[in-house]
Amino acid sequence: MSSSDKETTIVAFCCIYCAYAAADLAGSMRLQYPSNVRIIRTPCTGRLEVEYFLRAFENGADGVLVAGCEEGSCHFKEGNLIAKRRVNYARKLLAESGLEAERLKMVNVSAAGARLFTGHVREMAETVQRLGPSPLNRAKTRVQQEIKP
Amino acid sequence: MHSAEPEKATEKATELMKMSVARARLLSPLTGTSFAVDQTGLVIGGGVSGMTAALALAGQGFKVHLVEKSDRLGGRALDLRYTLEHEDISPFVAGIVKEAEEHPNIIFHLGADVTNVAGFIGQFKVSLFQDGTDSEVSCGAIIVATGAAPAATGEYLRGKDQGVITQLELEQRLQKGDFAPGRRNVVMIQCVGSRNEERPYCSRICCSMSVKNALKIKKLDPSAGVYVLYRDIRTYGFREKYYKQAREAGVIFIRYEPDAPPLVSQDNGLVVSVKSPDFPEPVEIETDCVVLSTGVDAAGDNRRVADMLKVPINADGFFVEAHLKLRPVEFATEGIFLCGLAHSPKHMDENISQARAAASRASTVLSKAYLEVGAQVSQVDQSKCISCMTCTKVCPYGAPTVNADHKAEIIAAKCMGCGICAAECPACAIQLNHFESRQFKDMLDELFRSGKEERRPAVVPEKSGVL
Ligand code: SF4
Ligand code: SF4
Ligand code: SF4
Repeated sequence: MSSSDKETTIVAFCCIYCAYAAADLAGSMRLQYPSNVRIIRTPCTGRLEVEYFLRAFENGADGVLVAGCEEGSCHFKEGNLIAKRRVNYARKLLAESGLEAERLKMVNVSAAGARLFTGHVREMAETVQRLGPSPLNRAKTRVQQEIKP
Repeated sequence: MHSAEPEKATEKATELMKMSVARARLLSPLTGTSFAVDQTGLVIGGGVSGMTAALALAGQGFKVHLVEKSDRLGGRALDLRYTLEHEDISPFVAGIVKEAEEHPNIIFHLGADVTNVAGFIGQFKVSLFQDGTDSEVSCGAIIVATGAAPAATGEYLRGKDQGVITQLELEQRLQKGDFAPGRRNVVMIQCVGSRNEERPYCSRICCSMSVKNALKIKKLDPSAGVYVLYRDIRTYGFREKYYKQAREAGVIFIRYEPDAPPLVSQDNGLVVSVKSPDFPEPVEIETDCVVLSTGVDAAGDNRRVADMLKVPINADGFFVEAHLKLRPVEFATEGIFLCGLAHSPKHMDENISQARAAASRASTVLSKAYLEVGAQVSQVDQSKCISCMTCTKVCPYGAPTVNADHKAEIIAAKCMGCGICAAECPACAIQLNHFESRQFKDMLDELFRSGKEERRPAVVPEKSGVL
């Protein structure tokens, strides 16, 4: 398997009040977007610790999106601003450890932003494609093989 | 979403499932505290939707505050004269205004603005500004029914020629009887200011409105020529039959394409010319009355109301429900509901159904004397707390305090459950119930666990309770 054939994975942490609802709406609207994204629900992006981002990369994620409410309309006033600070810090750590900082990105999406959300996922998928799989991407045994009898 | 890649979609679903199972292994039961519900509703907007919602709640015995910005009840329905199905709707509108006004359970706040909303489901505090004074009312649930506005336009010589009017104006004239039959031709232009860059949405009511007015003219004078220039006829639902009736009555429908809209000129009297994809040659119609089917604009105040309630509006300025199908009349923020034109352009009967639905959802809150919340709150493991005070600084709600032993303690009633403190605590002494660190980590591990690795052993729940 050449490195570019490797299956890539994007982890998207989505706030219940905005991006998670937008992802749901994207589904209702039947918007097409990259299927390698795995969404993790969070009560607020402010809940997310730097450690989770690093853990995702350590385990083999090729890109991580942190999707919170638009600035100024966080359900918890400023959770998204705190998340932005943590994401920026984690990006520095990534760069220092030799991973491209672009693999981690904070985006802001309102609950109505289905298209915006799918756009961000697509953009991250393109970034990952351009950079290639993360060096930490261990070839997963794909679920498909696993679920085959 | 991934219909082109069914295998990958299944793989995604399976992996999401695996992650959820990994998290579920670590969930523990949540026990919350209960608090009293203020069994009073509050409706913002005194149009047909707002009044219907208020009446539905009042009829169930709840007190309802009805806040209307203007000094008159009725909203947009006051401008309407008749609908496709009903000859004269003003008695209906007057009827529900009267019923609302006379209802002992409805408390009116006319000419009032909502200036602030604090609190949460069951216990909202809403500040009002009325007649130069501020006041505050409490309620357990809020229904947003702020309505919409007719879109203004300057297209097609609107404002430059007396003969160019809107459907609403035509309707009012028809009802008053000052639209003389015997006019030669009436030309209606659809989708004026709708389905374009500025308003990408379909305003939903205008096709039915022109069919309605066209039928009215034909009834007054079957010899009158009525032309409807349209992009698509969208007479939603059973209104399609009126479209058929209009065709049978001799109304002529001519299709145009968005990149070649009709042209209205006034050099030799009013002339409308249109290039239809259905005719080889452009069509010219001499007329003395051009009727524009203008669309629906979101109420200008929506942004302010949305910011106050912390609920979303879309790019067009309409409020967005929590879920299109599963939670269609409520917001993600608990205890706040929506209905009517504030949500999207729609017909009066649809607004009424939606208002009743919103009221019925709101009554699921108001009918409870107590609500249980506060289960998803953060808790401090005081044996780990190093008394750094970080949590007291980062919490947006001032929930963490310091106790006599200099250890942090989180007041459950004040904690909103964002988890900011849990992520920030340098000693990892705080956990947010239901969103614990180990749950996030296990989800991330499970996602990338290769099939060859050993399955995890079953977890024995750590002590009962949390942490
Ligand atoms: S209802 Fe008809 S006229 Fe109105 S925006 Fe939709 S298609 Fe256009
Ligand atoms: S942030 Fe953590 S360690 Fe610091 S006071 Fe709060 S609970 Fe204690
Ligand atoms: S979870 Fe949020 S609201 Fe609750 S104490 Fe922590 S920071 Fe404050």
